Amino acid sequence: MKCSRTDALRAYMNGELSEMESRLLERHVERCLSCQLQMETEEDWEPGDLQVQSELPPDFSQKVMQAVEDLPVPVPKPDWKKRSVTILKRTTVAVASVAALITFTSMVSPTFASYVNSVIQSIQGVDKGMKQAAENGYAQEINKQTTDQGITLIVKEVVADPMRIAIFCDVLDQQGNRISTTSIQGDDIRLVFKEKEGAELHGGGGSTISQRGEYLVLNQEIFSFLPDPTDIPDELFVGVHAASLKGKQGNWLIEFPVDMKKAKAHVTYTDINQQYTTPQGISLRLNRMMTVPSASLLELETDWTKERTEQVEAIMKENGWEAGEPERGKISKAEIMQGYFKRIGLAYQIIDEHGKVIAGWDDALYDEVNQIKANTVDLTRRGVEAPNENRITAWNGFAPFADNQKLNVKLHSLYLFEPAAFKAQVPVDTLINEQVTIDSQDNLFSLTGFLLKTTEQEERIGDFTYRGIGAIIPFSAKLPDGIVYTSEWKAKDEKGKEYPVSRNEAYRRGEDGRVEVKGSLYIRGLDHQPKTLVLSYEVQQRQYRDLDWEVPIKTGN
Amino acid sequence: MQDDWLMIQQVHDGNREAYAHLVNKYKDRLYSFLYRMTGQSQDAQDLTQEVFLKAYCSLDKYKPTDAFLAWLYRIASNLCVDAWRKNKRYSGAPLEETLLIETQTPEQVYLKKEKQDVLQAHIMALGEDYRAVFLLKYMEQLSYKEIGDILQLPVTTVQMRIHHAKRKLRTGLAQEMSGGAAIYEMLQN
Repeated sequence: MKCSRTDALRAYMNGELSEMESRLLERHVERCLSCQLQMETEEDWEPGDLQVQSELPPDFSQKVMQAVEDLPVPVPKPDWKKRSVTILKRTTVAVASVAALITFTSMVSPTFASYVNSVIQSIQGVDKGMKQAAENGYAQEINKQTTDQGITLIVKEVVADPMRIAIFCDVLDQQGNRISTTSIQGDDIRLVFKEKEGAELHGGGGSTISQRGEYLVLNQEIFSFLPDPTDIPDELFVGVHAASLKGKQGNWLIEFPVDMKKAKAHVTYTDINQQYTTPQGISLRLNRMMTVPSASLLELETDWTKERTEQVEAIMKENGWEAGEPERGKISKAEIMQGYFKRIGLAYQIIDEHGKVIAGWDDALYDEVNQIKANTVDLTRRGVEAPNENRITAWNGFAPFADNQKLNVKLHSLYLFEPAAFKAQVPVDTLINEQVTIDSQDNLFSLTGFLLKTTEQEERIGDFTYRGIGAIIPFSAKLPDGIVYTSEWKAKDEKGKEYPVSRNEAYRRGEDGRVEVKGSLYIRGLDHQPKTLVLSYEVQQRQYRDLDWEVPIKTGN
Repeated sequence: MQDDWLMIQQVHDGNREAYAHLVNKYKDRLYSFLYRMTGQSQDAQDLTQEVFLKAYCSLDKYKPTDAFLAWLYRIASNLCVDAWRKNKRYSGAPLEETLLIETQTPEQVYLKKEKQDVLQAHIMALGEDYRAVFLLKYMEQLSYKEIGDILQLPVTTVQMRIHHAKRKLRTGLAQEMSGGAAIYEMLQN
């Protein structure tokens, strides 16, 4: 049937319609099959090559890297809103079916029980939660293999639960020897998840490849695409598809079913819903805990109170960091600072009923500072930022806690970023011959040399590897009381030219409680020896310990 | 691409250097796209940098279900729209005027550079709404669906805009032939 708007479509194609008419017609065609068919009859014509010769400067990438140098690391966050709804939904179901829950070990099905010789226990680098799941019968033997280009890929075994799946593979050469190279850089492996009927549940990446001991381990967080465990089929079909392995292009495909039924039955939720406001005006909320065979996931929320919002606004105003249109190609200072203010870190410990610390979380950038991080499991999805708000929901993963335990979550520290005004003029001539000590803003820095790296190539100098041209200044430092990290470093020579500074550092807590740093400053792009250098940093992270929050929880509903 | 995601995960883990790999990999394609979008080399250079900075800042929100390049195109397209809103510079000079300038040097008309310029003038003469769709289709050979995902448009709209852009471009370039140059054929490769 011909649509009455065919003429309008012709006029559209000829560019005879006004903008408004064009937009309206586009909306019409979306629903009109006749117009869609009419469009198909348009003759085909292909323009030629549209690529143009790049005119980007040779140091373009370097410039971009310099610009991102001191930006906060973009840590991934899952979709909080979506998850909160599904978890809530799931919680209701879980509560209703409490009676049906059976204890951890008694659910071992015959298939699982028959497979107890899992190699996972012996592999270094596999997290404790994963090992615990394997030990409790959640490892499944697969032993399927395929060969291409003289390379054999074998899927040995799998550990899976509604949170994550780990696939343990072997890669062998023609003689059947294991290619145990630590480089996984060139490996291109994709995981596809399907239902029994063949409907694809997920095939868009999100998996990680790692070398663990002699095995190649493929990890995927199932809950990233199936947040509700009830949506996971009892039999999950997994496809491991490699296009490049150990430097060879080829086609390796192994498909196998994974039994999810038992692991699905062992998902428990503990609702906590406790809130605390810190003296700094940060609102903390412990939402709930989800436990699956390989992990317990604690969901925490941080937000700004009105007081904190006002405080940050005042700081921004005081420093002239106005949120406005940034200069093209740049990110405004206001945007950068807001990024820092938004990043709230926490440290806490989990204590059992006998007062023993059984796990610990620490958001400090260097674990060595507090040394309380314990029994954590690494998840790619770590939290989510509410759009246009300061609320952040974090997911902290631990090796799974046993059921029916009375635990206490005790807050240890809060970390907030704040502006800093460290600035020191360094006479470079002097620095070449002797140590230069800087005492500024309660920082104590000892600079112990100045070395120019004049080649672009990657080079290992001392304890660290450097790339590109620049100047290296080894240092040791004692940070101000309470400060655990510094950021936004810059260097300026006597002519006023500014250089980005990157750092290689090792942290520890000194006997007086102050944080000590040892490492090197790398003044990027500095290709000559200046008379003086003004070193500065503008942001620091402070650890607060004046907190009093303890939350009792009981695991396993 | 799996290795893109691996690189991104390394950035997530604090290894900023991994980002350099992605910048190197995609910078020229992005530049090419942005040059076609803006018709200005300097603007295209600035915008390419801006795309990489914006992308870095929102790398936490990147979902591996999107191809990284497609995601960069989305950021790039949005930046162009913002730039257009701010100043009307990229909306394409009236075609007649541009071509008049071109015809002043007819002897150079066979040169590749000129070919590019003429083609670019016609691309610039496409409305803003059509340009991105057209370029994604013919520079990157993306499907209607992929373009729709990037620009957040229904597939039929993508299809319509491409058809219109093609017709307009083809007609314009065919007219160019009457100027005595075999540009049209050259463009057909």
